[in-house]
Amino acid sequence: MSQENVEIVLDQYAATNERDFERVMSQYADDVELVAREPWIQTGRFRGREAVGRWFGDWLSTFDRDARFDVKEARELPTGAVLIIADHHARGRASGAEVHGTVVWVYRLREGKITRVEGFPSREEALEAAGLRE
Amino acid sequence: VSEENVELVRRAIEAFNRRGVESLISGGFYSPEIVFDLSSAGIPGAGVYHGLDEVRAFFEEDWFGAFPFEEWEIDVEELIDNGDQVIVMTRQRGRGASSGVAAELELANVFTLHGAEIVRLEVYRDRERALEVAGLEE
Repeated sequence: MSQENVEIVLDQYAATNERDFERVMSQYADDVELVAREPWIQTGRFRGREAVGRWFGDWLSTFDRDARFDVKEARELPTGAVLIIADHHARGRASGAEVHGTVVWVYRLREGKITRVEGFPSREEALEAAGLRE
Repeated sequence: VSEENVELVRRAIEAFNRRGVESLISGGFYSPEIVFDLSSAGIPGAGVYHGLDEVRAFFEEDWFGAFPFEEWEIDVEELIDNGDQVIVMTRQRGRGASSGVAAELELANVFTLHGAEIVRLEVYRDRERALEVAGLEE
C-alpha cells in the first residue's frame, strides 16, 4: 500500500506537468485539507476539494503555461505520510521573469485518496515534524 | 546621505501601505533600472524582477492577481542604516480576498540606494542572512 501511495502522489506531479487537472482533482478526497505556511504568501488552512484545488490553481496561474515540476525525492515516512521534494521551473505569467525554486510537501492518504497536504519551508522541517532527524 | 536613505525607505514603505506598488513607481521611489530580487526569500514562485514593468507585473498580476488580498500591510520592526544600503526587518500581513484567511510573513529586506532612488531590493527570510549580505554579520 505504501509504494502505491507514493505512486499516487507522484502522479499528481505528472498530471500537473501534463496539465491534466481533472486527474489531479480526482486524487483528492472530498474532505482533503491543505496547510500552507510560510514562506507561501497565501498561508492558512484550506478544507475541501474545491478550496484546495482553487489554492493550487491560483498558485499555478502565477506562472506561464510552461511551468513544470521535477520531483527530486519521493518517500514514505514512518508515519505513513509521503514526503515530496520538487523543483519548479517557470516564468511569471505577466512579468515573464524566470522563477524557480523548491517545494516541500507532505501528503497523507486514505484508501488511495489524498486527505491532507502540508507544506514546509524545508526538508529538515518536514522530517522534524515527522519525528525524524537526519 | 545615509539618514536621507533611511527616511526615503521609510516613506517608500508608507507609500506602499497606502496605495501599493504603483505609489512606489509613480512616486519615483524605484529607479527605472530597479532589480527586485525575491529569489532568496524562499517564496515558491517568486524570482528576480528587472525594471518597473516586471516589478509592477509581479505585484499586480503574477502574485496578487492570483492571490488577491483585501489588504496588505508592511510593519517595520527594525531599520538599520548601512550607508548606501538600508536593512529593514518587516512583518507583512494580509487577508485573502476570497478565502478570508489571514497571511503573515516575516521578511528581511536589503535596500540599495543611489541618487535618492532604490536601485536594488533583496528579500530574505531571516535577519542573519540579510545582515550577512550587507556585510553586517553580528
